Amino acid sequence: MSNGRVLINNLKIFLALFAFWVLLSEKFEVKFILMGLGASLIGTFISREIMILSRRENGDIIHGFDFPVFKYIKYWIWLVGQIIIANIQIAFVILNPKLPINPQIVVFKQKMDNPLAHLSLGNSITLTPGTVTVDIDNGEYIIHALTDDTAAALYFANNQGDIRKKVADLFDEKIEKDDL
Amino acid sequence: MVNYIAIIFILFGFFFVSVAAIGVLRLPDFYTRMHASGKSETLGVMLTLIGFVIYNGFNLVSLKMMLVSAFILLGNPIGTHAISRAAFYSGLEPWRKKDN
Repeated sequence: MSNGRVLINNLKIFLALFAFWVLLSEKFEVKFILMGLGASLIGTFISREIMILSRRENGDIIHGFDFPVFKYIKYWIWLVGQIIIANIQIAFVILNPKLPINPQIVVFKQKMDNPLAHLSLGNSITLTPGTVTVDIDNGEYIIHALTDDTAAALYFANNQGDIRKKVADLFDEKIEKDDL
Repeated sequence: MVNYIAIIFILFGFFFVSVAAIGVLRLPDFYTRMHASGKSETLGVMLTLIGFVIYNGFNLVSLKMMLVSAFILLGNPIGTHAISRAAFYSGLEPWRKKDN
């Protein structure tokens, strides 16, 4: 990533921090706006090292604010729909007198360079039907699934794995379709 | 009219938080209980906050409440993940069905 991209990402952090300040302070006098600008500048300055999450093999920086914002928001809106479906399913399982569960541990590998992609996928798996991310180690996911159906939904072999495809598309990562 | 929509949202939120509580009591072991508390609670709290936003109308306070629900959406799965990971590494065996 060139210096220009780093500058744009720092500007994004600055704007986000400033918007947060204005939202929380609810005051629009010049004095408070200036204080907010100063605080956001200091925050941006402090976080410029932390935001470099890792580097690709060719030395490019992976920046913590370098994601497609609108695609990301669209993805989260889709995910909220999935969360509602997941919760209704979980409610049916929990309120069923027979308690039809078959807990199991599922392991799969998904190599992705961007740590943000791993974060998004782990979060999404926890929030969607009957699966909780237990651990992510070097692209290897250990998932606890509540029922058989929800475990099967993670594998490409069953023509499923929608979340994994969507997250990989979001961050332009290439995934191998034949893993497990 | 707006009040009725807000009440419906808050009631649904109440329902999902209750389901989370019932799930924590009914499910057999730690990992399965994480399912109940991690998911149903997120949606329950979010629906309740959306109900509050609708009741309050659109102003800065409701914008703050939407921000709170966004942070819950981002933060709750991370908490679930951290606790279940800690349990996994301290060697807690997941509960399995007896017949297999």
